[in-house]
Amino acid sequence: MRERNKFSKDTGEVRRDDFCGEGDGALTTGTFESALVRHLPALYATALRLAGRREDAEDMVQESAMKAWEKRGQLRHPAALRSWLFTILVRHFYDRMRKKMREPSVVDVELDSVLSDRATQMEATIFDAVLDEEVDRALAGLNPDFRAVVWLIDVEEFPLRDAAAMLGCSVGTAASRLFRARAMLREELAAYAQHRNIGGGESR
Amino acid sequence: MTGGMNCIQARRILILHEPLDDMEPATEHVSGCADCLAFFQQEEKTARLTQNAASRPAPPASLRESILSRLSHISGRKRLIGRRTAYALTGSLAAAALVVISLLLWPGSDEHKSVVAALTQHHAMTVHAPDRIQSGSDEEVRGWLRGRVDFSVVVPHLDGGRLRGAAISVMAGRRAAVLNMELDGVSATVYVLKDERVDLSGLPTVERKGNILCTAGNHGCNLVVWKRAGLVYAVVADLDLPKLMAFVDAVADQV
Repeated sequence: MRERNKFSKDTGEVRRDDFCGEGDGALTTGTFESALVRHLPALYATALRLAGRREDAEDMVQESAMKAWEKRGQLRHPAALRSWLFTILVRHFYDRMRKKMREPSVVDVELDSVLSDRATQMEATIFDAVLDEEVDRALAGLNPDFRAVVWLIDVEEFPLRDAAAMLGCSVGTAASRLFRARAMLREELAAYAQHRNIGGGESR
Repeated sequence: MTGGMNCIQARRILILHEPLDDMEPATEHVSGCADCLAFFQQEEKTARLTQNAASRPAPPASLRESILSRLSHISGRKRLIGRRTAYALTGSLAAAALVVISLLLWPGSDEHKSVVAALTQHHAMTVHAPDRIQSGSDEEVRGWLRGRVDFSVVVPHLDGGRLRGAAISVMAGRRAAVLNMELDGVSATVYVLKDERVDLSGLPTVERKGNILCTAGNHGCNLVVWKRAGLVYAVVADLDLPKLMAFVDAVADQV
């Protein structure tokens, strides 16, 4: 038994039109632009989730696209184009966040301490009853470090290792953040559910 | 303790995929451990819930346009530096052709309207000039044009000719696809735009392979214009009309 295969699925798929295939690995203007347009919805959704404001998200995506174009020569493996675009976006977000000093980074804990948690009994009642806007609200309430890792792995389905590279942390740290973030989401959703008298959230 | 390891060890190994040698005993442990099964099922459900429920607003169209415009500007300028001669030739030809076509296509023959149209469209072309791609690949050019114009553009294959690239321009108030081609060493430009209030009346016409083609010339440029399937096609080149017609035949057969 294992968790949904987030930890081995490679989503940085090769597409013929991502890469001109001319031997030197270089992306031409046309192929770069078409790849960017194809990934734009996901990049924008990620930027919006990280930044919170539409204006900031649009700025982030624009600046990241320009950076990606400038650094396209550094892309050694065209198969990793999607992952590479997200890496630039996420790092750009962290650069902005550091400059604005808006949110403190989380204090990371050892993965083992997160993995000792026992499953709660909330799933039967909560998972089917939670409202979409409550998930949005719970995500928005997370610290950006937690929000980023949940979004990249659970929504964009990047492998744990890719997400860790984007976030600039070790795989263990990314995993620790992921499981803590999911636990926080469950707690928050359980609180919403209790508020609506659905119940749940007790430890088994 | 199941499978020779405890719950935390097994979970860590399966999540981190290391050490690889311990994956099998970790899987064995989890398979026989109710707590671990519940743990992973809960994580799975949380992940699926987030993925299914989280909203993903679409990017505004203006963002896409803005990015492509900036990229075109950057990439166009850089290529211009490296290939100045080619661009100077193509650019001057395109500019001249654009003015000619603009003057001819704009509905009504009032001179002031034509001048205004030509000036505004030339300005528009200048603004959009960096929005171009230099490529000899049909597939790449088609992909580049897709999304920039709201109609399908056929990139013709020409014996003895080659595709050099494409651009987007504005003509008669609408976006046009511009294909830069070369035939026997002479540059030629193919324009494709939607047939909306495009007035070709008054131009000399010739019948060619069952098609009615309009012809015109200006400043050494000759051009041939025709309509087909809701689109207007124009081919412009520094060629005399008979030679240009041979070029046009090859293009018209394929669009």
